[in-house]
Order: sequence, then C-alpha cells, then structure tokens
Amino acid sequence: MKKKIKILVVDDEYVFCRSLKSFLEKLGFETLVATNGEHALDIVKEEKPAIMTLDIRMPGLNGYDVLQKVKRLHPDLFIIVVTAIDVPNMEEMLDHSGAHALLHKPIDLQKLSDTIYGFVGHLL
Amino acid sequence: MGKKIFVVDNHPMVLRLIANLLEKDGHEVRTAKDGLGALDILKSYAPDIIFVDLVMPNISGEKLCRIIRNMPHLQGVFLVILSAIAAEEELDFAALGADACIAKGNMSNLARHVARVIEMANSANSQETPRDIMGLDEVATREITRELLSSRKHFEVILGNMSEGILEFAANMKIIFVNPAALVLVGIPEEILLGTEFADIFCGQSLETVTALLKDPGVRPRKISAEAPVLLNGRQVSLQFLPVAGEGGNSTIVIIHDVTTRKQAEEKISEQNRFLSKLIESLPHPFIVVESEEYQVLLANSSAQRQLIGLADYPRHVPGTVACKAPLPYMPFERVRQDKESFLMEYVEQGTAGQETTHEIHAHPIFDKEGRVSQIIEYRLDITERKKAEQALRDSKDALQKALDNLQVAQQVAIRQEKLASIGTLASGVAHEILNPLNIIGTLAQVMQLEKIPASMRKNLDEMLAQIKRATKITNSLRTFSHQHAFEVRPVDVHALFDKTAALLEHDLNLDNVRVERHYAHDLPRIEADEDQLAQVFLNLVSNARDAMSSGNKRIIVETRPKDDGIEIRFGDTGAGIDPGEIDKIFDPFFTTKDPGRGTGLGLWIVYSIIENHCGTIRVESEKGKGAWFVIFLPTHLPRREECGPAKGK
Repeated sequence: MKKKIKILVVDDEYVFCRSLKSFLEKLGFETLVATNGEHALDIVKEEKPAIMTLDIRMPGLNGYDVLQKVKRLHPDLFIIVVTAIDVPNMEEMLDHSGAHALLHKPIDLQKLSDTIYGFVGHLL
Repeated sequence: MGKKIFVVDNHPMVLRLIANLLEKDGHEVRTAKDGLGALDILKSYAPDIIFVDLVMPNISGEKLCRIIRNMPHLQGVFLVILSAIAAEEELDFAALGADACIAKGNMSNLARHVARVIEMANSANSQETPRDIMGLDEVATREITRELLSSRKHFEVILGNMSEGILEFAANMKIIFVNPAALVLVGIPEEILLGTEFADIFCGQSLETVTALLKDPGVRPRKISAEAPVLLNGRQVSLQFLPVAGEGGNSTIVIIHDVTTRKQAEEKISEQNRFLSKLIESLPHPFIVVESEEYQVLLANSSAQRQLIGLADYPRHVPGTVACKAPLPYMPFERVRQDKESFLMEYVEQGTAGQETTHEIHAHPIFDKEGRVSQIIEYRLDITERKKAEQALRDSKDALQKALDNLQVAQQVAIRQEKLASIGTLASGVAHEILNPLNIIGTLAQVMQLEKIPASMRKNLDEMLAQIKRATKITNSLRTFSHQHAFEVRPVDVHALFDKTAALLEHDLNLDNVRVERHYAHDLPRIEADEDQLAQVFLNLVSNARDAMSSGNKRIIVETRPKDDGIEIRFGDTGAGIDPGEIDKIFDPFFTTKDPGRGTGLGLWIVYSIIENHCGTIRVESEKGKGAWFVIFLPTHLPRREECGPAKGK
C-alpha cells in the first residue's frame, strides 16, 4: 500500500480541525491535528508531515513564531497559512517568513484541495 | 510874681513884641523861632506858660502843642496858641491840649490879649479858661488864606491815610515832619522823632548805607531802590529823596516804601524757581519749554542739550534767553497750539550713525490769562528698547500661535489616527471573532456536501454557503475600512491616484464596456490626505457607478477643478440614477438599492466616512433615469477637527 501523505492541521478551534480532518481524510491524506503552537512543533519534529495548515492567531505560541521555528526543524515542509486576519502586505510578509500559501477564512475547501494538489503534484 | 514864659513863633516881630511886653512885666522870657528849636530848648526847660504860633514851617504849631502836652515835665504848663488863620479855619484848641487861643491881629490887640492871658494863667482858677478864641472878631477873613488852608487840608488827608511813609528833614538833617505811616514804619514816637537826625532812625549796615548816600554829592536824585533795600525797624524799605525849597531853607522829603512783603514774595518765587530748575535738571529725559509763536526755546535741561539736535549751544544758565528754535518735529507744538490740549506722538529718528531710535514725544500747553496757548512744554522718552521688546513679544507670540496651531492640527491628526486605530483594532478583533465561527459553519457545510445527500439538502447547503459568503463580505468591508494602518496624511496628487485606482479596475471595466472620461484641471493642487483611504473612495465610487449602469452608453466621467481653499471632484455616471425619495439615504450604512446579496450597502457609507475624515463635503445630484453626479470637496490643508463643517454638502 502506498504510504499516505501526512498533513498537519494547526488551529486553536478544535471543531474546525476536526471538520478539516474529515475532509482531508476523504481526500486520502493522513491528518494530524494540533490546537496550539507547542504541540504543532512537537508533531512536526516527530512525524515530519509533508504539509501543514497553520492558523496565525493562537494563544501561547502564535502562528508567526511557529513559522520561524518550523523552518529549522523541517525545511521541506509545505506550509499553508489559513487565517481570518487580513492586513496589507500580508502575503509578502508570510512569504518572507517561509509560508508557501495563504488562504483566508472562511475557508473554501475547493481552494484548499487545489493548493494541496498543486504541491503534491511534485511528490507524485 | 514873674513867670517863666516860652514863646515860639517864626515871625521875629511877634517874638520881639511879646518878649518885650512880658519882660517889662518882670517875666522871664525865652524864645524859639521854630518847632525844632522849641523842642531842643524844652528838653531841659519847664516854663509856666508857652505861646505857640500855629502856622509855622517844619513842625507845625499843632504838632508842637501835642508834643508839649505829651512831655511829662510840661504837664502843668499853660499853653496858648497864636493863630494867624483864626478867621479862615476853625480851631478846636482844647483838643490840641491848649488852654487858650489868640487870633493874631494887629500888634496892640495882640499885646492886650497876651496880657489877659498872663492874668488868666496867674489866677488859680483853671476853669476860667476861655472857650473862645480871643480877638477873633478883630480879624478879617482873607480869601487866599482860606484857599490855601483848604488845599492844605486835602494834602493832610492824603498824607494822613497813605500807606507810604512820608518824612521830611531840614537842611541840618533834623526830622521836621512825619506822617502816620512813617511813624508806624520808624517805630519811634513823634515827639522824640521830631528833631532827631534822619540817619539816626537806621542802624547797622543800613545806617552806613544811608549815611554814605547822603554824603555822596554825585548821585541825583538820591534813592535806595527796592532791588537793594535797607532795613528800617525790621522792615525792608526803599527810600526816595526829594529836595524841596521852603521857608526855613532847603529840606528833603523822603518817601519810605515798605517792600518787605514784596521782597519775601520774590524770594519765595526765586526759591521755587531754583527748586523747579533742580527738578527739571534732574530729569533724565530731554525737557524743553518753547514759546508758542516761533517755537523758540525758553528753557532746556542738560539732557535736552545733549540729546536734541541744535540745542548744544543753549546757555542753560541764562533761563529765558531766547537762544534757538526747538528741534524737529514741530507737529506736537502745532497740535497743542491748535487743540489746546496735551498731545502725544511717536517719532522715529535717524541717528548720525544710521541707527534708528524711537521716541515718545509728550507736549503740554501752558495758557495765558486769555486762555491762549502761550508756551508749550515738551519732553521725550526714548522707547527704542520698549518697541524692540514689544516687537519681540509680538514675534514670539506669532511664533507661539503658529506653533500652537501646528500642534493642534497634529493633535487632531493624532486623535483621528488613534480613533481609527482603536476602531481598527476593534473591527479587526470583531471581524476575526465573527469569521472564525463562519469558517467552522462553512467548513462543516462543505464537508456535508461531500456526502451523498438528497438534492434539496444540497440546495440548502448551497444557500448556507452563500449566506456565509455574504456575511464574510460585510465583515471584510468593515474591516478593510477600519484598517489597522494609521491615518497617514501626505500631499496627494488626486489625478495620479485616480489613474492608479482605475488601472486596478481596468480589466473589469473593459469587460463591462464602461468608458472612463477624464476632465482634469491643469493646475490642481495636491491635497493633504490619506492615500489609501482616498483610493478606497475612488474604488467604491467606480464600483458603484459600474453597478448602476446596466445598459446603453456606459460612461464614468471624472472632473476636477480647484475651488476655494481646496479641490472639487465631480464623479458622474450614465446609469439609472437615484429616486428623489432615496437620495437622502444613499450614504446611510447598509442602505442599498441592489438586490439582496448583491452589495453590502456599505460602499457609499465608507466613502462618506472617509470624506468626513478629511474634513471635506460630498453631495449627490441625480434624477431617475439620468445618471448620478457625486460632487466632492476636499480641502488642501487638513484643518483642526472642530473647524470641519458637516460632511453632507448642499
């Protein structure tokens, strides 16, 4: 059996994580979930997922901090930032920090799957 | 028994007659031919009977009688008056102290009366003194005598009442006449004064001065003037010496004038003048007095001498000397003379080294008795420093005011920024909080759609997702407007900004066949504004216009021109226009004429808010079916918040 691609979903809203997980599993990905930055880093270290969706506004370690730390831990990680925040020059900023894509909440699942498959295409 | 008889008469014949007569009868007779001589003798002689001729030169008989009666050692003397003018002048001889009076007639009558008198004197009965003048009926009235006597009376009245002292001394310097005023002045009783040497009424320095003057053969007429008076009995007097030729030889009449009061007044005035002089000298400011006709300087203090041009040679020790004309300007003098009141003016003077000094010239009138301005006082204060200080104060006040204005504008901007920032923060926070739940709902709905579900359920889920999109749009609109970036004010070129914004929408506009027409003013000034917010205004207006035009010739027209202290932008479309009933509401938040789900109703509200932020005005002109014009005014400089009027223009 082909090894499933691991995706890590990071968001402080557990309900969102769970619904995203069910969607991603339907698509055939192994989905891991973290509801805070610390936990997310642990999972990245241990599980080395290929893809990560990342919320910015989280209590404790926020998304920006995670971005920076994760680059050192796992430079090949494909990071999709999923956030309700909208500020000017955000894309530039995230790009500079090493994120690969930016999706705004409320998330359009079609867009999400397009973005994932855009990247995964490399892997296949 | 023989009496001691003394006869005083200036007629030698009468003297001889009476002397002989009486000596024959065994009386001791002594004679004197005038009052002076009589007084001399009487000093040490106490006769029993004295005959006194009434009309005598120098000391008159009347005087002599009075004096005799006042002499203590002559109290009991039998005093007889011999009057040559008995017929012409009434005589109350008793009032003179005389016991009898004989009218001088012819010699035999005279002898008879004299003898009678001797008898009377002899008899111990003093009550028997006759009341009448003896021999009066024997003499006739002479007209000339009467006239002369009348004249003498006038002079006696004058002499008796005048305030000047009149004194006469004979050639031998002895005083022979004194009027009442002189008696008061001299302070010596008459009986002692008469016969005293004139110079002896003085003492000390005055005595020397008078004596020297009398001895001096040169000076004529002799006088001691009021300017250099002598002291007489404690009073300062002037003397006028008038020689007169008379019966007894040459005598001198002296007019004595008491000038003490005048002298004291003069001294007081001098003292006051010295005081005023000192006062005026002590003034540090130039002080002058000029006469009002030619403005010639009458008085100037040394400050004036030093500082006023042309007064350097003014001889300040000779007050009242007309030395020179007052220095310029003459306006104060002219005005004071004209208006008869004080005048004040500022005067700028060019110094010799080119420096300017400012002075305050004060001028005051001095009036004469008729109320005309006779003299003008002028003094000057150097106010150069004061003016400099005033100017410096004004300058710093202006600078402070400017700084204050700038500060206030900056404060307003800062307040606006903060307000927007806090709104922004709030809006961001709220948006975030709303978007997250929306996100969850949306995700769950999308996940449900992946299941095999009946079509109706799918439809419902589609509807839910559509509503979520709508809610998201509104939230994003609000958030975009209250963005977290600050209200950054910069000079903005409105034309360039619109072009940039239009370029962003170019693609969509082309798709819809909308043409954009520009009528830009040539010299439109830049305006102080937040560029991003203005961009939002243009975006919203273009978007709005595009939505309003569904068919036909779709045009968006932009016109700009400078207006008042800012610019006017007219933004028009050829769309459906606005109902008159709805024109008032188009700027209200959430008001929309579009179908539900299309548009948030916030676009124009955002436009209005941004215009309000920039202290501008916006109004709309539109008729149904005839498109709409948005007329915007934006000021060039952002004023203080309080100065912004209402944003809804007329």
